[in-house]
Amino acid sequence: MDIKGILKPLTAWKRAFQPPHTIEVPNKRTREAAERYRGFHVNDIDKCIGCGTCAAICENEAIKMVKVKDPQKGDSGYRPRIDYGRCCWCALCVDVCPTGSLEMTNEYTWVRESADDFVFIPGVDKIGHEEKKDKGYKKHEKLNFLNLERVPMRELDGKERVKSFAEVVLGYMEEEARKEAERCIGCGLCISGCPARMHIPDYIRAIAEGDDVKSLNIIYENNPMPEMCGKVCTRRCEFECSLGHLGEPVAIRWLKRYVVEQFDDLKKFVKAEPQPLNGKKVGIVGAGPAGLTAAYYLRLKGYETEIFEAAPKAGGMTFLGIPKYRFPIPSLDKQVELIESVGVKIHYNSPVTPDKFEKMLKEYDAVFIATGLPKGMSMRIEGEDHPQVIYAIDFLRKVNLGEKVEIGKDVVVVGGGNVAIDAVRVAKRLGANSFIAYRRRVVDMPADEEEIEATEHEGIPIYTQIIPLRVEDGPDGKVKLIYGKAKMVQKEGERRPRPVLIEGEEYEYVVDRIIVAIGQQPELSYLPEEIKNKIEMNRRLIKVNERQMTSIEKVFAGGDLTNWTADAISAIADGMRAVKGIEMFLNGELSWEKK
Amino acid sequence: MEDLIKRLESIFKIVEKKRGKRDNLWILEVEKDSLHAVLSYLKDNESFRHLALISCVDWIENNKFQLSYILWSYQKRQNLIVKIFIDRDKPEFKTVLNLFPQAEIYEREIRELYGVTFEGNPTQFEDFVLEDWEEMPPMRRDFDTLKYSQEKYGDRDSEVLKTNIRKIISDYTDEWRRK
Amino acid sequence: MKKFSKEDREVKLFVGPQHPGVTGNMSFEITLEGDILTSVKTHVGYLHRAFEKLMERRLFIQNFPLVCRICVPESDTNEENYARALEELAGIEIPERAKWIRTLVLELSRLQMFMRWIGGIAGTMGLGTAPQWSVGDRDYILDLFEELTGGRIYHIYILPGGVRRDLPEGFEERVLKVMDYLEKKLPDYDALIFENAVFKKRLKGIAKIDPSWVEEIGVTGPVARACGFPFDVRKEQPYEVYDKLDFEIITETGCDLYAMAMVRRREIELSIKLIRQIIDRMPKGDVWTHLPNVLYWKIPAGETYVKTEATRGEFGYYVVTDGSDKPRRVHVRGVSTPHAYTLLERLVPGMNISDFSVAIVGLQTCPPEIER
Repeated sequence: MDIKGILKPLTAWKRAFQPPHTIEVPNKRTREAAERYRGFHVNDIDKCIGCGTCAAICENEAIKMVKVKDPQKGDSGYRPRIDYGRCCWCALCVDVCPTGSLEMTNEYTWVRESADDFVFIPGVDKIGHEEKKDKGYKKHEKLNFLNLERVPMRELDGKERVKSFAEVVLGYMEEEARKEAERCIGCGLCISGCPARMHIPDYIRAIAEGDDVKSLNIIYENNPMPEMCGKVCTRRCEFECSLGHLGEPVAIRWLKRYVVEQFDDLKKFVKAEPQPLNGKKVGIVGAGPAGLTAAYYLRLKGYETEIFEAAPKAGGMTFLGIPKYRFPIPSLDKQVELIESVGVKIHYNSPVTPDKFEKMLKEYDAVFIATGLPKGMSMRIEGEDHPQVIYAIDFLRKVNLGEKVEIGKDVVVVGGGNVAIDAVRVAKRLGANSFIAYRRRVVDMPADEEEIEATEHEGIPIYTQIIPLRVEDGPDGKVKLIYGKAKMVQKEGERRPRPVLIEGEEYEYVVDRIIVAIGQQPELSYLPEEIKNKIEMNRRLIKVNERQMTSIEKVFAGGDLTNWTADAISAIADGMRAVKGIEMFLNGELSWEKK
Repeated sequence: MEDLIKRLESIFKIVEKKRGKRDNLWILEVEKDSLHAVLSYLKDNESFRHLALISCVDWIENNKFQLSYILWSYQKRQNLIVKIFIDRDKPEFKTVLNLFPQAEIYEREIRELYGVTFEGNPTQFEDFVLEDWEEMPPMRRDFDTLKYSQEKYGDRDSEVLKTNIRKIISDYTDEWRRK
Repeated sequence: MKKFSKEDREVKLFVGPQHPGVTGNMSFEITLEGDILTSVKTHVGYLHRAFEKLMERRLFIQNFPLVCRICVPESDTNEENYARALEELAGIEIPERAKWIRTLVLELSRLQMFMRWIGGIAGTMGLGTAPQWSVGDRDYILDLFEELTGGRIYHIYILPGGVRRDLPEGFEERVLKVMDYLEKKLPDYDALIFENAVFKKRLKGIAKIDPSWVEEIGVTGPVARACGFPFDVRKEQPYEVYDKLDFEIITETGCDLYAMAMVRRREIELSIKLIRQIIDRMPKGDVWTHLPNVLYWKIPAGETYVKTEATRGEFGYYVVTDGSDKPRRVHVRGVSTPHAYTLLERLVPGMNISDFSVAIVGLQTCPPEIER
């Protein structure tokens, strides 16, 4: 008989006097869940960009993106709506959120009569959990399903660079490109930043999947100068990239560059099959990005296109303005070759005169003018007509055309835009001690951040808050730039502080050349007097509507000549719009009467 | 382990041998007619007496079913996956019940979920998890779960079910393109 | 007196599909002659959720909320197995600390499952106090899980690449506190159950297994160890950091339900010991290594079979990939499949009907893993 075994269990009685495990409800409050508990969602509605990544990763399809407002740049206007009948509280959505706006509280109670109350948009439909935001399952900086770090781009060393015009950025190798492309989550928000609305997620995915030809053809759907964009685009897409909120945006520009660089002979790989000619002719003035784009796509649609270009090469400002260490000639030639191969006729060294323009209007069914901004803006100060004062755009043009330019030893570049930086870097490469004088602060500079950084690598100083006052002759054949210092004054209602001259103080730079880079203006002397007087202007640019139509019948305009953003991708976008406009006009869907 | 593979190769035809990504795993493909002999040899002579699992994989694009026999040797501390391919149009094979009694259940499951019959297994046609199942065996790749549930239970008018995030992305990117 | 034929004397009875000792639902069709069972047929299919089918349609990462539900009380075993299989196929190395944390989670999970099992086996014998104790004490472990992972039952904590979060501050001390508490309480459990005369009498000599069956029909875990076989995946194929821990495989030689119970009783102690060791030796460092973009994560074609020691035995995952972003096939080896079918069918003839429910709980048959 197992006496011990019978008696021993009786010792359990001692437990009768111990407090129970359970919490008494409802006399006591419900137990608060642990700090990391995965309870109901909260969404910071202003931080959320509606990229849909939460919905993409949700295995239960519990998340639906619902439109709550109109799409804006970098914000789709959609917000996640969560169906708690489907949600399994796995919090994969929290860990994948690119902005960190979607989180979970540690609140687990939500009692309602109707089942419909369990489907709501966190942040938009307030359910009272928002106040308990500080506790619950949050995004952790160490764990992120997204790869926030960009594959670094290899560049020439700063000391090496200034010795020649060799290309600074070296481009991705295949492995690097695949790795970088792989980071893309395919949300498509970048498209909102791109003026040409390129199919960015699609071609990046094609790169990630190793299909460069497919990627190239997606790119060529709405950009005939991808290598140019891949090298010098202002990449406004990258500023809208959802990965940029917590990390570095996908290197969209470099990836595009990578794809096009893989192909030496684009004609073999780009599936561009021009339709047979339909008998209509379009004349184009200026072979810049806008003109080339219009010519290429119009030709593909069966229109005969001819471009008249004053320079010996096509490319417009991308040929004449952009220094060769950013965009070498072979890259340009490759793209122009493809454009010409589909049947676009480009007449080089043929500047258009008023007479010729009159003739063009008669000869062609439509005319597209895209002549850009070839003239530098003046500083409007005393002594500016000094022979040692030159305009950056002229300076760059001469250098790019291979002319010998004497600039001396010390060079000041006045301005803070991309052109100013190009000029100062080119001057440095020509052996000068060049530097920048800018009227505002570095943070206010309109130039690309990367470009500003590049000056630093190349040992180029930037002096700020400098207001040029007048130009005088200096000693030993030099020239003097007299300037005053500025203080930054923030006025109410203004976006950024403006520089105000501090009266009574004057300083001077004694240099060999003063390069002025404070903006450019159009050159419209090729237009006949009558048209020039009639054409509607928008300050110094030509006014066009959303189909790129000017106020003159049959004349379309685009590129820097019409838009204020003045970058290549906007010009390409203008070209694309003009293609649509011209096509509709020639099909009779659009006319100047109805305009 | 390499020795064992060599010994096996001297007796049987090994179609493909592959080392797993870790040390103690080998994957062998043998001809289906010699499978019983291989398993029996491995069990009796090489101490692979523990059959962990019989699994089936549908390679619909090659029109094949793969049958995998996962073995373990307590002495050698080695995992061995022995696999064979059978015709998808003629999903029949012979049971290994005489070697491993627990194969009865695994084969019954594969019979039900993939429709592969095992000659010599007396209980294979009993229900395992499904009752009164008249459709195609459900684990086959061409069995459409969504279609089945819609036909069987009706469309439940679930908005979320039909949404696809890719569709929404193309919606809003189109909106930008129109602008 | 009229003589009855065998058919006339036999009664067929349905047990289940609900049973307090069994996780989930499964039923048994038993044939009785008087009090004595002559045969049994096991039926599953009451909670088939087609997880394996669903997993073939989802991205690798999206399967984690599914795998943890394959075996409800031991979700971590599933997560760890699936994550390890993917890591192996994709060639991902995880940080050292993540391995230690995974091992900690696995041991905590084993411990809570053993506590739950005490409730099951005692409940089937009508010993009502023990389930209340053990389920209550199990909740202290669930509290730890809640604090560590954000969920009490479904943790979704172990992912390929490591674990989702590092230990919260002071977590180690709180684990040790719970371990101290459980250790102090173990003698009470002994007195209440394991040394209880009723418990011993009901289990000793019941479901006596012939040791030759163990390898023959693929029995693993405590059932095999109760027959004297030192089968323990943690030792024979060490995963995570089990090769860095000091422990001995626990075996008994009784071959009956009591021996199995005693194996599990000693496993509780072992788990507590291992948890202390893990906390003592855990290194500092990262717990997560970067995965490729999970929304487009493709794993090269291959196949693997990985296994862990769950409370019931060898829990295995057979994963086949074909180079796409979704698994080709995930087949889960439910530990108790041979236990619930082949072994039970052999044990039942001659068993008293009152011992039957004790036997199915004692073998720890678990339908969710049998049918997924």
